[in-house]
Amino acid sequence: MSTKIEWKTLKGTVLNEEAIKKYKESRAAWSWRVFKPIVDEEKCRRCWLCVDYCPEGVISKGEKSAVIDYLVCKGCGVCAEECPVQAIRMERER
Amino acid sequence: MSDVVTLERVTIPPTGACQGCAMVLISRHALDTLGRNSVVVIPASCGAWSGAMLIDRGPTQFPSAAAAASGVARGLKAAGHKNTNVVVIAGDGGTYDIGLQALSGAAERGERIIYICQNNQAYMNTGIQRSGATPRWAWTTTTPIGSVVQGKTVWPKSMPEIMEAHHIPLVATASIHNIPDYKRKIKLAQRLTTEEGKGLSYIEVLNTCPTGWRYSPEKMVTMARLAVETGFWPVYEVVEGRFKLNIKPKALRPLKEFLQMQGRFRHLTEEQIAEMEKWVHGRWQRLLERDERGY
Amino acid sequence: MAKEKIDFLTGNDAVAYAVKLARVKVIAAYPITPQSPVTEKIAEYIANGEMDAEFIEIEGEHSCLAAMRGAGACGVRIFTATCGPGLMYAHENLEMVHRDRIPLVIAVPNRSYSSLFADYTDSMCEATTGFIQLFVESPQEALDTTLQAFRIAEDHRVLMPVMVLYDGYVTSHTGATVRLPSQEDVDMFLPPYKPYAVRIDPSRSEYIQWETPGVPLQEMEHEQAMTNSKQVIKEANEEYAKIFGRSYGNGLIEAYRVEGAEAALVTMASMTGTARHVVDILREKGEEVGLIKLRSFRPFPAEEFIELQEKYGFKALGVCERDVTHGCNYGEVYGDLKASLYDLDERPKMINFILGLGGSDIRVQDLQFAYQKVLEAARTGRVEKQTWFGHEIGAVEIRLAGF
Repeated sequence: MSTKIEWKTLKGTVLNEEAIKKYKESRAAWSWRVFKPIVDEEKCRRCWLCVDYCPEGVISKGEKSAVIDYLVCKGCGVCAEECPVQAIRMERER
Repeated sequence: MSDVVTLERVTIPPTGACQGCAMVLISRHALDTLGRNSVVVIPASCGAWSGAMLIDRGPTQFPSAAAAASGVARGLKAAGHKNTNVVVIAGDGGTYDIGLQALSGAAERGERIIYICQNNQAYMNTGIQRSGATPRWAWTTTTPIGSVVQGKTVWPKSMPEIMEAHHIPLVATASIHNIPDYKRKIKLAQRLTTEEGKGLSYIEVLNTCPTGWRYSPEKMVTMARLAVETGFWPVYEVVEGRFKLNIKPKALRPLKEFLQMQGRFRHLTEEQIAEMEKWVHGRWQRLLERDERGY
Repeated sequence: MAKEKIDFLTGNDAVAYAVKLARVKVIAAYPITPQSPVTEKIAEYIANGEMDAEFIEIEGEHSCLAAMRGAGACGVRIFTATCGPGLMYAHENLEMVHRDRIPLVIAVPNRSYSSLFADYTDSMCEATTGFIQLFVESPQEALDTTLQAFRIAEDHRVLMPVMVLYDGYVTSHTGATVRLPSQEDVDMFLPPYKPYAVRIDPSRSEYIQWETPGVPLQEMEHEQAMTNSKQVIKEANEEYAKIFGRSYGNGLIEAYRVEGAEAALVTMASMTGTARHVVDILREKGEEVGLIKLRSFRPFPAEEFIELQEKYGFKALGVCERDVTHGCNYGEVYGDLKASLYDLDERPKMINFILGLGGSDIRVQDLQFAYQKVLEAARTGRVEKQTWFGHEIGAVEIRLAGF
């Protein structure tokens, strides 16, 4: 029995950018989120506290203000609660 | 819409955790700070929901996180890898109770492990059962409020003190409301443990779990801030034996402000609140004295 | 073959020497009688610089196997040893080692769960755990089998962990002449470990997400690996013989004086030595009896037994073992053997002799009694009693005070 055996239980797949994108889409956070955070670009002082406090880390430092990735945001509301200038408001989505 | 996930980051959202889960916050800051030359070991806990990561995960059963991490650390050394961070992210169950033996052994052996306990003060992942970290009188599903017994009847362990007795290079507590302080401790652990090989680093972070503590998720960070400002969760570090209180409010806020925000304490009587405050203040006094002395 | 050194070693020291020759990289172990000398010897080798390995002075057997699982995932050669209550304490992580297909070699100087001395009640608890289990008879065989174990476990057709089992105290602490292979020859027989898949590799440039297939597929693959291992065990035995001049039957079983035998006993580990002596005595008297030594308990060599039965047509077989499966009134090996022979047109009568429990001695007269019973069954075609306990035939009892 010298043929090479492929053990399915020891296989892995390479995680590249495409696979990561597919993974994020498959979780579909946008489809069940109840509240959605909306950033007021004018009010945002670019202190980036929300970037630190977002549990999942879906907020990034945009040019004008904090930018939220709605594909993966779960709508927990921590960013709105912690923003020192109330630049983020939670809007009911469904 | 910007794509926040670049291959610079280790953790990939979204995770399967609850909305407003502090564990995810604790885990992502630690791993993103430590970088890709890391291996993480996550025992059974809410950490099981910490999502996909761009680093390898060491396999472990529930009681053996620190033991599995010891094997990983030595295996990596034997395989010729250098300066790879071996991180454990365990809950209070896997640290205070079932995982205590493995952690104690690994600490005593001086293993190069950065051990992070995300403490939500109960076995949350299996349905909010009590642990050795659950506060006295708290409601959990195994310490329910009934006509004969109400809540947990005993005080919790003090795990940071237990870890200090192992004479390891770093014992620290941290809070998610002060991310820069937390990240500083992670970097300190990386230097002391991974680079200088001085032994195990232990960092315990309060995981203000909205689901288990019974409050609305958006208050997750506020809850952590209140925990620290009332003295319920003191934030300090012991670096190679030197003690320092990192967050020192001039006066502690009334403990009631923290307790009344959570459903798990809703049933507490005035006497119980007063006694718990006495306990918290007594502990705070001892920590202030240690801060004076420096050890 | 380079010149071998000859030394007088106990079973434990022989195993430790094999671990040194095998160039194991990470060892974790917790002391437990009668395994402790293995751990101590390895610690000595490392302290003297004779071995370049990581030794984790672990705080308990459960943690020990967890550490082995962690180190195995990094793709390095690993070893541990434990027995008795330690083996049982480690059970949770033993299952995980085989689940991860880590080629761990674990030396088990069998110790009863209820005394300090040898019986198989500790390792029989692990009969379904997916470990290859090889029983050895002597310190020499312990050394040879430990070396072969790495070869068997690491083979890409197998990738299952291997237990090397030898009788606590009887083999582990008793000295015998041992021929020590040279490092060059061992390096020829046992090349450096080449993992099939390394789960933990921080230097990888790509990120691998390990798939978790369903349990049914997983268990099927494990069975496939165990089946493959029969061939691999035989090959390892053959190739070892080519280089070192020593072999043990065909690797799975060893038949002794079975030509023309109307009855035979199946034995394991050190009792085999006594049994050979008894066969010689009986053959001298004109009785036609034989002996089959079971070396590979897992995978169970059903094909070998069927072949022997069809070739020699035994009228009765007796199975001698140091364990009993509570609730069945027979031991594991008896059950496995009977099931293997069930489909044959001509089946032998079978009797089970549960000897040596708690470490009580298996004496010449106990085996003579066993042969007497199987010869009776062979001649009359009737089995008077299916299962005999050593206690019933006057074997010396082991009493342990206190715990």
